Amino acid sequence: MTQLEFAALAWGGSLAAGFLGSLSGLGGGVVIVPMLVLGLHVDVHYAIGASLISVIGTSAGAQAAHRQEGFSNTRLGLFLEIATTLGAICGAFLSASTPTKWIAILFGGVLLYSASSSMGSRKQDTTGRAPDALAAKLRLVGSYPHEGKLLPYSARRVPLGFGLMFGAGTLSGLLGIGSGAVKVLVLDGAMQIPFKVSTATSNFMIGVTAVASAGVYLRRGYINPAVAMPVTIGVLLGSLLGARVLQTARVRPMRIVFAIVIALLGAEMIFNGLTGKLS
Amino acid sequence: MKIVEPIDAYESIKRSMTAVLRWTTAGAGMVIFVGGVLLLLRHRAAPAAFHSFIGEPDALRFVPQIAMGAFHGHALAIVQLGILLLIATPMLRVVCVGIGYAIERDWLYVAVAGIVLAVLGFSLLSHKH
Repeated sequence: MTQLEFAALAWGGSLAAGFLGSLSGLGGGVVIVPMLVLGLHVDVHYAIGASLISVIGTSAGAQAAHRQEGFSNTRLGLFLEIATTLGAICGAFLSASTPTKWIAILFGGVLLYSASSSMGSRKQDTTGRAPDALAAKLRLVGSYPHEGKLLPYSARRVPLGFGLMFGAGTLSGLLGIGSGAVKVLVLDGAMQIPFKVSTATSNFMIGVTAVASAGVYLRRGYINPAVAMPVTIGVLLGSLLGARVLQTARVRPMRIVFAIVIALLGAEMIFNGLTGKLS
Repeated sequence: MKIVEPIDAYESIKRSMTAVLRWTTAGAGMVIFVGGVLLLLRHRAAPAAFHSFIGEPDALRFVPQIAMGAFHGHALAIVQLGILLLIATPMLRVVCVGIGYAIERDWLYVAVAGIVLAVLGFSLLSHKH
């Protein structure tokens, strides 16, 4: 394969990943590594490095494109970024000493989880309770519009959420993904933040988390510009295009298709990890 | 004499911060694109061998060397410089949020923004391996 052929294939695949990722709300980052590793036979560390840069690009692009932050809670996001960035550095260091085989198996597990979590529907009614003492002290409270009213909410189980966010950051640094699905799970499940606020706050945190591990990857020589260039441009264009289409398209069938793709990739990563094809 | 409302000052600062972030992101994308075009023009027929990890040379790993290479017109260094700009965007964002809290006099969250920046700075600039 020549440089031009590689760039064209990686660009096309990343464009599709960014497009589907943005339509389904799962993010494109999660399929970049399997696409590069399984499809284009790129070394897993170069793939993770390129994926991290594309995650930063998508997050920055989305924030530049939207005029407002939506329902995101900046204090909550910033506070939890202390945990995710420390976790991300830890994950980036771990990545060097973890055998490719285990990275592939763990990655497969995360893909299967992302696919299943995107299919479930959310129930929630956590608003209107008295604020948690620690959350009140840290001002991790807010309100969001729902059916024409402003509903107040307050974060709960702050130490648990902080600890779990360290884990989300580690996963992000180890696998080069935004780990948005895990962040939403922590915010929504453990800290009982309303779902809309959780997804917006998670988007806000993804870029900063990825930067923390990208620094380590860069200094270790894992960021190969010839791999990262087509991937970043492809994902960025694809996700901006997806955000455009999102306003008119029906999302549900797209979600199902993308969830199936992700589940298959997850199974293939685990299979390749177990049979030692990637080491 | 017109009295300037503090909330207006905050809004206008917020708006200019959004503009700064937008231009940084667009600039990073452009630099990566230009470097990519140069790379493919010069090396399009070279074999693409990324299946085994060698590790990038120092010229593509540290900020001063990357800037120097880009200045000399090396395509890979230009792409890497664009990537550095992209990495700088979320950091700039944390700085902007921190300034916003300073204007609100919320010193607790100015400190939180400072801690996050210190962690990011450690990741990018520390020289331990």
